[in-house]
Amino acid sequence: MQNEGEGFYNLSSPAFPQQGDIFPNVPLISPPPSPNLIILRNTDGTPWNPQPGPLVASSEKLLNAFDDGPEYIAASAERGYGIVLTQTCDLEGQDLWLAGQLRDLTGTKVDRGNLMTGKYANLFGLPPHPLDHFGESCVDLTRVFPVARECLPLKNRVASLALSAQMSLTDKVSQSLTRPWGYAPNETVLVSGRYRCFRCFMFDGLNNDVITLSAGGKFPECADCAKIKKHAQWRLLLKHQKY
Amino acid sequence: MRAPANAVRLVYSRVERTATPGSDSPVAYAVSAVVPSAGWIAVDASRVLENPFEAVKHEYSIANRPLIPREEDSMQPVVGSAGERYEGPRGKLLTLRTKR
Repeated sequence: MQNEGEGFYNLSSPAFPQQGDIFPNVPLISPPPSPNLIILRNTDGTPWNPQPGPLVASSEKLLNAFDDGPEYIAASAERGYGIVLTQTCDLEGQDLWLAGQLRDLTGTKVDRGNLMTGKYANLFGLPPHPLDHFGESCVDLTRVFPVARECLPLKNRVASLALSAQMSLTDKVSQSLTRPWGYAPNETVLVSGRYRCFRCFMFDGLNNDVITLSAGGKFPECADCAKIKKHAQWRLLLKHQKY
Repeated sequence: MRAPANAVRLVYSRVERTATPGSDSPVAYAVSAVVPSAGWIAVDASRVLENPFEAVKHEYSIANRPLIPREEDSMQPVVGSAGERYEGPRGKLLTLRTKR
């Protein structure tokens, strides 16, 4: 029986790094959710010059931190499987690559079918690795980590994506970080003007009417989109000009 | 502290540091452990705002935050006129169009 991951992954080890490459032991460093950082200093309070030895950890509030330059801080870090999200053509010239973390589907409310058919705007599904490096996983493309390229040596790569999977990832990255938006029905109109439904403007055979709305009113449904049970995405029309 | 039911585990790997240098073959590595499931809690950042020593704990790391799927379209299962949803090698499609 064929493993479903075999057509998804390219196990031929391409000679160069690519978007979608998967590495183990990727360092994932989280900025702490506090406006005050933990500053690491020498025991005499002077700025730390990285070397083995004891340190003092202090709240940023108690020091004149960052007055004379950068500081060393404490942060939570872990290692796990990561997938390269930086565009392939940018990898060569970048010191920092963007990586997403592989997360286990177990215990989540993520619907496997919708995930694998690309129905989530922010999640990219990965079938199990054919050689059992990891199981069925997903990546939240809105949570990305900067990783120094030296931490992702090609010799450690465990998988690359097949071309079709690379294209799916490219689409999903674009979709999750830059998807267009419009005002939904029943939202309050903030700016008077002429609006068009952005959801259906690209389709042939529709009126895609321009409507005039006044501030304080409510956005309506789009007649065309309602026919296919979708909600409108209204966008304010601007003067046709270069931007 | 026990993990909540909706806790999400990071896919961990501890690769043998003695893996064959220079090899790009997955078989050169051995996964020696997969992670702990206990000790992970959902983030409650509001109570750690003023305490950097609390905030820096692993429980509040990005990796520990639960996955929140953003729905692009209706996620409701659809049984169209064609009957049951098509199920392919990567999962079920939401609809199967049989005529133009």
